[in-house]
Amino acid sequence: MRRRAELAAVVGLALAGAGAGGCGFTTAAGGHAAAEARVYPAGPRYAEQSHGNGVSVVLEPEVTATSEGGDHRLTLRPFYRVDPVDTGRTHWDLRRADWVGTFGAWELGAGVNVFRWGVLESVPLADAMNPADTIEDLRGTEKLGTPYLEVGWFGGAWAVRAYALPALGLFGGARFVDRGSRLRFGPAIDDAHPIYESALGAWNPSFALRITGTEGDLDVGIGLFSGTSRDPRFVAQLTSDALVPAYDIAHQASLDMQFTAGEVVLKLEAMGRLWSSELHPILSLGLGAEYDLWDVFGSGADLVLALEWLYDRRTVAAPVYVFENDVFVGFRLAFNDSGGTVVKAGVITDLGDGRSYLRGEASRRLGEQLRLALVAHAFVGSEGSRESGVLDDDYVEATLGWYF
Amino acid sequence: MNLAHPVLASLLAAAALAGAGAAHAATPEEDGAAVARELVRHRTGFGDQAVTVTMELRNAGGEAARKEIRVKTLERQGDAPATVVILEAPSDVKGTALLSLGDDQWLYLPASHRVRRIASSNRSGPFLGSEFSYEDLMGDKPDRYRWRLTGKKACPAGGDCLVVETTPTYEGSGYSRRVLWVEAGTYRVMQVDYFDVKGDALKTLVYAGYQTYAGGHDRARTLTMTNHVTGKSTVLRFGDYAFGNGFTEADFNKERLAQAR
Repeated sequence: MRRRAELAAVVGLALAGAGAGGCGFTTAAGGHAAAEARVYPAGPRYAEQSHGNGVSVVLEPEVTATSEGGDHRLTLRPFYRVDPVDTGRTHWDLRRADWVGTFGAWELGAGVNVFRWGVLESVPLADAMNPADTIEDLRGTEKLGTPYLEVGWFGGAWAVRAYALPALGLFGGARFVDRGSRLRFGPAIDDAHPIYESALGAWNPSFALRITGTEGDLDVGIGLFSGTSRDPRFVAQLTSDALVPAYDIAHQASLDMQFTAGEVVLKLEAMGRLWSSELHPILSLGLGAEYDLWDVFGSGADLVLALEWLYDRRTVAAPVYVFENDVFVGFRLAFNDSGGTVVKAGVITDLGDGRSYLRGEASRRLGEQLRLALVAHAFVGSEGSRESGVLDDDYVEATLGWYF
Repeated sequence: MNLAHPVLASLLAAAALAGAGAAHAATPEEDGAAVARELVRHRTGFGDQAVTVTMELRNAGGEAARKEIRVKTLERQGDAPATVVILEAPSDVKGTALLSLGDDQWLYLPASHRVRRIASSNRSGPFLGSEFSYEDLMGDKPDRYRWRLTGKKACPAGGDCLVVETTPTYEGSGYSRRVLWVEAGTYRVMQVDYFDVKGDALKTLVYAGYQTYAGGHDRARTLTMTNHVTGKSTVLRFGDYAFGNGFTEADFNKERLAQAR
């Protein structure tokens, strides 16, 4: 794992160096740094866990070098979180370190980046290319950068992109908090010693194809993925009580569609694992509707109401997924003021037993370069469910971000 | 559409449709269509353009917030121009990009790494908290307005103006009508008065500092949109336009918004 990380750092530095030193390139630096104060009102569930109350710091600078005319761009965006209290949350990643070249309708890309597929608000079920950074977000919405090579073609309405992914990620898979951290799904997960089905381990090449297009009021995306799945199973060990992530070889396909008609938006997102060697088929489906009430208080504020239904069928041995038959209800209120004030909240509820995950967030800009965000997370459920480990981990968080 | 002249994209398109109109214009509607044709003649043929704009948002008390945007435009055969508006500052929303292909608009938000289509009901909503709405930034499709020449008057800033009233014929507009003040002879738009759906005066857009670029393309340096209801205003200050950038339709694919600069 360490060697991979070092390799990534070398690749990143080389890219940055090429960008800064290359002739005819314009460099620009930006990104953000943030201080996040988090408080868990309840004490930890497991004796080995930190109380987690404290301030952590996030650094995500971005350096770009763009050729004259903009046809070539080098981007470097490392990510680093330091949490001096809940030390299991301290981690780094290369979210992006790549070159993208544009040749008319064609595009070539190489390096490390994050790729998002799908249209749902509640969960990213179509995403296939990047391992999740679950330290940053339990739902897997935050991704770790993945090494890639890309050939893309762009028309007026359609685009086709083919990817070769030489490795599972810079860290050999998804990242999880360690046993001493809050927000643990019950058993501890040892992400430093994953198991791979392929003899090539994390270096088993994978391939992906993404087709996107627009037809009238419909936006369509098709995703194909073949190789080492980014979504692990968890395997118990004899030598430790921690679970180990296991990455299978799998072939999967996804479809995402959005139909936009007036104030109504309809969404469909589906993912099917068509084949894996031990035949753990998966069908995951999400249907969504959004209703847009613009100018809701006569003040130019924009209110979007969202409703999504999540359905999933998979075998017990397949990767763990908690949204088998769930409903998401949420809203997003954008005040459209000069401070860009946004309030959003949502709840995902299991229709079977009522266990729920609630999230609320309000943020606004302060001055030109600061942004203040207040976030609250709560979990409602019963003991004995798979995610009962987080039941005492409701928290509130205040983040002050500096964007430069 | 061209941000410098928010109403002109619709003018272009409408007149393109009007095409071979009647020869002897007699009614105010025919006169209006004739003005629209002239506006088109003066506005087309630039191919593509790129410009950097400073957007200044002022509230009634005079406090100001600034944003930097880049606007890229590509003329399209038989269709409204394609436009991308890219936000450069404030830095917390840097990289946010809005693509307009006629009636359809997509927004890329860097924080979510996703491109999403904007519900068309939202077109009256303010763009980036400014006094410009998404509708003002939208390229329009043909025959979406009724035209009427209401008379010839002195321009608000001096000179002779043709006064043309345009009424949207499409659903979901935030305006009942717009009144265009067009300088006679040059066909430069000098001012636009916007009226809300109840017919009351809502906003006024004033064009200033016209400059003629090589190829005869007239572009205003400053656009000031004033909201008469809230007292707020938004000033757009345009840098130098760059023409002939070699943009193609592929540059205006929604999947490229993440890369837009």
